[in-house]
Amino acid sequence: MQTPLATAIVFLYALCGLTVLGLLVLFALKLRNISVEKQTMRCLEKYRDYFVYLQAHGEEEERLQVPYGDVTQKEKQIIQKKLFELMERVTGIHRDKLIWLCEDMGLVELDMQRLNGRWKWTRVDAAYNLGIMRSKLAVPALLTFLQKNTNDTSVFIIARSVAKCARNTEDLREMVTRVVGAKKNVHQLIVDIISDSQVDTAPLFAQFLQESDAELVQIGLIGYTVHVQPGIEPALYQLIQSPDKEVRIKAVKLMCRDIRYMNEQTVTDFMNHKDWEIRAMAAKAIGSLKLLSYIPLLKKAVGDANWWVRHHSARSLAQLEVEGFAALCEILQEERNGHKSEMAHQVIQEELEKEKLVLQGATATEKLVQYNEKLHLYRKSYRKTISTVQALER
Amino acid sequence: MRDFLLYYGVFAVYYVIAINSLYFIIMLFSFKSIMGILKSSIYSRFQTLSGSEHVPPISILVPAYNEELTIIENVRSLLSLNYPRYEVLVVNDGSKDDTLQVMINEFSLVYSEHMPVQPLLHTSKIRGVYHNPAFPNLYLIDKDNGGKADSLNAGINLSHYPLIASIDADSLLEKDALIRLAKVYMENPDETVAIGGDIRIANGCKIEDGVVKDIRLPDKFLPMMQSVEYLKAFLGGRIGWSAINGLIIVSGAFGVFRKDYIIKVGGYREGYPGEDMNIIIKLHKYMLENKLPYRVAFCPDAVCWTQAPDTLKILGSQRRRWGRGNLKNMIEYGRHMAFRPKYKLFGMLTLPFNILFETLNPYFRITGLLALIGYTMLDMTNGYVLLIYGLLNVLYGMLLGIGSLLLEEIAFRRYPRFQDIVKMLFYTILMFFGYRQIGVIWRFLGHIEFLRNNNSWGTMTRTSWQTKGSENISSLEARS
Amino acid sequence: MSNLVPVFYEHLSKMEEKQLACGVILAACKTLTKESLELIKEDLGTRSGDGSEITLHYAHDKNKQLFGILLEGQKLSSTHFYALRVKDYLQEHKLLAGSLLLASFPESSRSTGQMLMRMIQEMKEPGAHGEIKLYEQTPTQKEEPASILLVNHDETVNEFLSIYFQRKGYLVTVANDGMDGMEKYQAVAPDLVITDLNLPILNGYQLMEKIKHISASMSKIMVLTDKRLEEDVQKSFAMGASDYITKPFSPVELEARVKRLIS
Repeated sequence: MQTPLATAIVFLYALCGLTVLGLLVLFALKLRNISVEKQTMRCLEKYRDYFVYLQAHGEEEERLQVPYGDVTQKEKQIIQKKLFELMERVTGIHRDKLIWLCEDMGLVELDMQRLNGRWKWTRVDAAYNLGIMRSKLAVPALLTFLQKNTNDTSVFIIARSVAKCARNTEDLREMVTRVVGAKKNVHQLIVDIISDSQVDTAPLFAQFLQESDAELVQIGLIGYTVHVQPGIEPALYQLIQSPDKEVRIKAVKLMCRDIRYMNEQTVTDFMNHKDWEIRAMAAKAIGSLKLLSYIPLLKKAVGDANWWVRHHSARSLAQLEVEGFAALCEILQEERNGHKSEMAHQVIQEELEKEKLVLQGATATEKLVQYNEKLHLYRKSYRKTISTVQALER
Repeated sequence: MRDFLLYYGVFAVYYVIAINSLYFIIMLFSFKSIMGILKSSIYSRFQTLSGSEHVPPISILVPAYNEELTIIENVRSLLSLNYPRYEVLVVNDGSKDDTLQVMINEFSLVYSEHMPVQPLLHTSKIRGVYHNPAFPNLYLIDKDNGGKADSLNAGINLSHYPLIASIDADSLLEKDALIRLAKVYMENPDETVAIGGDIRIANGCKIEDGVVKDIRLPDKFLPMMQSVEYLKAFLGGRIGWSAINGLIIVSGAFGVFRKDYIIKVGGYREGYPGEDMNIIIKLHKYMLENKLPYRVAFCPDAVCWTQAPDTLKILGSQRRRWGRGNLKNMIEYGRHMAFRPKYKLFGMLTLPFNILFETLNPYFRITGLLALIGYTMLDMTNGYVLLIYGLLNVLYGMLLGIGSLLLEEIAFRRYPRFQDIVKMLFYTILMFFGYRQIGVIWRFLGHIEFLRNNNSWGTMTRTSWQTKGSENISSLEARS
Repeated sequence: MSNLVPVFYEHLSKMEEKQLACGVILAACKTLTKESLELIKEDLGTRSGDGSEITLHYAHDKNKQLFGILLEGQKLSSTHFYALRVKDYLQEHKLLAGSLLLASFPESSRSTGQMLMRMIQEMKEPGAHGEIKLYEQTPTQKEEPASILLVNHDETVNEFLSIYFQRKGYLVTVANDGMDGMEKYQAVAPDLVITDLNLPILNGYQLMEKIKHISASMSKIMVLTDKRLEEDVQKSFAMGASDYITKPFSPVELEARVKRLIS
């Protein structure tokens, strides 16, 4: 009877040991955390007047002075955290003065040493700190660290630090190529990271557009949607031919924002493009840019095979004054059933409901005339659903 | 007879060792990845990120059935999340109370029969969509009753953004919960198909104006038990499972999904509980069958607070439902995917683990205990066998409990006071005297219900939807 | 009249002749004996924060229980820094009885005497124990100062901006969330509201909406937020905001825009 349970008993002893060990660690950790918290509170209280001093004299010429007396290493770290809170929220002279203060306190030097520390998380911590202190000196070391450390998400922490410290676009470029080498398709995040930099990033994005690497091109395109810059037309026209679908889409998206790119040839090309995303974007753009001349094109696209293309085409028609609305109504007359008329009908009703709501708020006669005109067009084209019209008139 | 009882008892002993050891290993994975999670969360400025135009927009789906009392506060709270671009779609699933009217009145919503809805997934009849231009990112869908899954599908049809978040109408998101999930997504947008958030018990906390003001442990017995249970399942279990990409569930109470893949797998399954586990299994299946790289992530620092059931009756019905849902999923998918190398780690480890240690758990445990009691009754001098069985259960359970408390202490520290830890430890032990056993019985009862009602599962959901407060989380798989 | 005035006035006039700025610290203290005064002089030393030698003059008014220090050639920030040390010292020796007040006398000022008197006047109103106040001699002092309501969930920003704007001579009220902001708005009726958009309970938009509802003559509203989306900017302006600034912000620029809005 003993043997089958012998292993289980050994297990029991092992469990006892582990449990006791776990308990000890847990209590020790809890007590330590509580004491650290108390220490932090005490320290913040002790230096409260000092923090007021720092915040009150942020824009005078003199450097801010380091706290007097003996400041322990622990206290320094707590003060550093508080300074970081401030530095992340302000820019200009206020931040510069705090950065100088960090230098005077020896914090930059300390973190430069910690960047070579033995533990990975110490190094990451140091990299983060150096980023906030925007230490230009740290860039080469940070880039090396970035190169070596690409297998987990700490890569983004380091990349952000490089962006904050970056001296020029070359540093940023270096950072981006390293991140792109390690992580796929993180363009949005990279552009967000780049936006933390103090360097003018427009030339960087322009450079990326000329690259052969689709990842970089996409980053460039996303960057441009935020910082619109003239002078990239040739690159864009090339990119809409790109074999990479994402690149094509992003390039078209960029072009659709600007009326200057939307000439007749381009719009026709877009509306007949094989990617439905591009057709949909173009349809949407025609509406928001109020390009009345493309109504026939839109009208045709309301019958597109893709729902989004139909949706945006119909919506755009509704945006294009009474003419566009008339085109929608024509669809109802021409086709009684199917996707096309269904979509047209939905959008017509939605538009009428919306306008009616606007009318209830204001009493602009011009609006009223337009509404009545649209209502008339609709009735004429679709007498069957007279009930809905009555419902709207109530 | 005696020998048989003994051998069966011994088998049960080793079953317990095996199951707990596996949990332990999973927990070690949690420990391995906790530092990375902790660091990447404290080094991120979520405040700044929540205003960035590079964050993907999200459609939040809120299925609501008979929620007239809480819906307003919850929607208000959802409308003031720290997130750059998102919309809230409340789906009224044919409520019998005034949920619809309360919403319409509060936000002055206007009926719009013709809101263009993409017919991506099949749902019950949509009665209409309500909207108010003053709240441009709020939509209310009114539809015939069809269950939670059906409501989610309806929400997907109207949603305008590529990511969807499912959130229960009676749980409360922390303001930066969504942006935390989005960050996890942004760090690997190609492969991430679903991300789960952490669910915590709000009973006992002070909640004002839709904000958790003061975090306290629950005072009552049952919520406290569940508090400890959730902590174990989410921190000890799910972090580990997600580290090896074997997560089988993302809580229906709070998760974010790629809409395109949800549509590709046919949307949520209608009419049966466990739709949150179901969708994850289907995602795994789809991605593995098409040989696409993917991950189902878990983000423990994105917190959703929920009210736990505080009566045995409601808790029982919740657990029976989980039992039912789990069994259904295992019969439908588990059987065909388990032990197939094609399904990699998910098929070779997660599913067998689930079938052996979750689905079949009640049978082994109950029979093992009965066998040992019987054996002891026959010969009182051999009582130590029973003792070993009991001790093993309690000690291992406690060890796992301590492990999850350690994880909490390392990374999150939501409960600052020393006595909180002592209280949680106490309940971890207490759990093995009654609570666990009754849980096993509930699960067993759930299985019986399943077998009895197998042919009429279409109507089941409706009744289960009605138990207020029991819909919080649909399942707590990988419970340790 | 306090006996501090003639003592310091003399030094100040000398400074003025030399075209040097001068800092003054006044502290409410318990009665000091001759010895303890000597001790203070010795212990505090004559080094400023950056280590350079400074000339200090001490004075003590027994009746008014005031202790004054005059720092030759020191500007406001270094005077402030020195005051930290003075406070710590007095507190350590249990000599502090109330608040501290400090000021900087500019290189050329015609009203040195008046300013001194006013400082001593201000010391009569007892401040919180250990509080360090900055005496500001802004030209707008006689007029009613403009009031600002700051609605922000971020304590760091709240603390920073209230210190910053108070120094610039504004009256600052702080609220932590939208609901709080609403209540404070009704209570103080500020000239300008600086609000975030991400706020608990009521968000920034809801707050603006409510403000529009209550008051016919609306206060100016400025948005200070993390949100950088174009649509948020547009919506804010549509809802009546006069300016939109994103975080992280430059305090100098912020103040310039505030000035433009409420001048």
